[in-house]
Amino acid sequence: MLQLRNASLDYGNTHIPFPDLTLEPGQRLGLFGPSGLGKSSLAKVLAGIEPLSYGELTLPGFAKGSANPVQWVIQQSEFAFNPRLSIKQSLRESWRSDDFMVLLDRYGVDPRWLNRRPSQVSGGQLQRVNLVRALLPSTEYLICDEITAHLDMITQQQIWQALSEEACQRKLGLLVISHDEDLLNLVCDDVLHWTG
Amino acid sequence: MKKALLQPTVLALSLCLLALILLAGFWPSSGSELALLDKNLPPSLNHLFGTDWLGRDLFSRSLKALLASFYTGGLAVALSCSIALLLAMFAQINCAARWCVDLLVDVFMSLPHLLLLILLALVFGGAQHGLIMAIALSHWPRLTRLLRFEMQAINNAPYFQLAKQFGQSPLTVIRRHMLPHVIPQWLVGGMLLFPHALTHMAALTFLGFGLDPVNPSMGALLSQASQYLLTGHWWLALCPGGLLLICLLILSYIANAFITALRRGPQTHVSGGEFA
Repeated sequence: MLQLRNASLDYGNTHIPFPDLTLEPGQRLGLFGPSGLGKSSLAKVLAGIEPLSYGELTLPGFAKGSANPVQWVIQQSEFAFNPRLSIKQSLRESWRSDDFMVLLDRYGVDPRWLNRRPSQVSGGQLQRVNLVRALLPSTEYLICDEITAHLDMITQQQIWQALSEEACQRKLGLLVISHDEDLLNLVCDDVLHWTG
Repeated sequence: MKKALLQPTVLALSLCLLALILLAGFWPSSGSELALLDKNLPPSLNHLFGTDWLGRDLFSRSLKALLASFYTGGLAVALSCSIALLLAMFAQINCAARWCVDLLVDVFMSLPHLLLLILLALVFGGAQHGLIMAIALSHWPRLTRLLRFEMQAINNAPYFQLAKQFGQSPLTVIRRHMLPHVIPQWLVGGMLLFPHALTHMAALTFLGFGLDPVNPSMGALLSQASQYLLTGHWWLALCPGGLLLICLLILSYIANAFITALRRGPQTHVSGGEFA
């Protein structure tokens, strides 16, 4: 279980209070809120990248040297990849083998893209790769931070359909962060409204 | 970066510089032989740069002086760059380390450059090793600052943070994501430092804090030549000075070609080219 209680984060002089939330395995929870509230900061805290200033955060444990069971997928996929590495090298960074090949078809990743650099594929293609990279066998929770905000409707539909199926099949907890309430109502079981 | 090296002009200039260094290394004369009958001769086919007031061949002396400058300058720059890289890496540990490194950089940058060089040369006893230490310990701050900000930018990059999320060890993350980005800039920084170090070496030797006046060095040659400028012996300053200038311009050109290549390459944050 992933749980956040009475938590807040200090960024210099800025204090960001977070809402209480609980994410169970297999649950698809939506987090709705306007821009600038600190949704991405919350995502970083949940993924263990940013340490919490106050409050309690319950995360699943994992051994040192193994991948974090809470994975974070960001909106601007071009920043999620080292521009010097090929797509395949980036995928192998998380998977450490070629086992990711089974997921390529499900998320519409063309194997021909694997030898390209991140700058040589489109934003939509890169976001699919970004998802495949985060969906490790050890991943228990996925924090999706506006992952389809700048994608076309068809790509959005394909990605959310594949992700929803994945969440049901392997009891993957999904936290979908967005300011698109219609999308959250469509994809998630529950929607948490964060108004600050 | 490879393309930058393979540009015809850069390749040709690098080969010229290499040829000059090899020529200086294998040049049979040490430039110390006196020939009082041939003193104060202007440049000719027998003496390309002419001779000085003791009849010594100025071309041989200039080549040996250039070699000494390259050796001393190269060693000093290598030390200075290593200090810069180590301090920039140390600054990434935590806020306190960052604060210490910033303070150290500010302190060194606030001191007058030439005064600091003279003080350090005196502290380390002058001569060649004093000169090397003075240049090494005074030329690292700007490169340290540049590298520290570059490393911090990578530290905050999502792909760097995500690599840690995937369970990669800190060393692997640094090797795969940090060093490939920072090393080319570090090398360019070193190349830009080199001409700067050479001019400072010449300046220190000119002021009498550098190399032994018996051994030919660029600073000593120019310093001694300044006494003869008004007597019409123009070649004594112009020829060694011109050789030094040409070498510095070649080095600056190669370094600038590297900077241009870095700017064109993927993920570049090279800012400026001034390490003076």
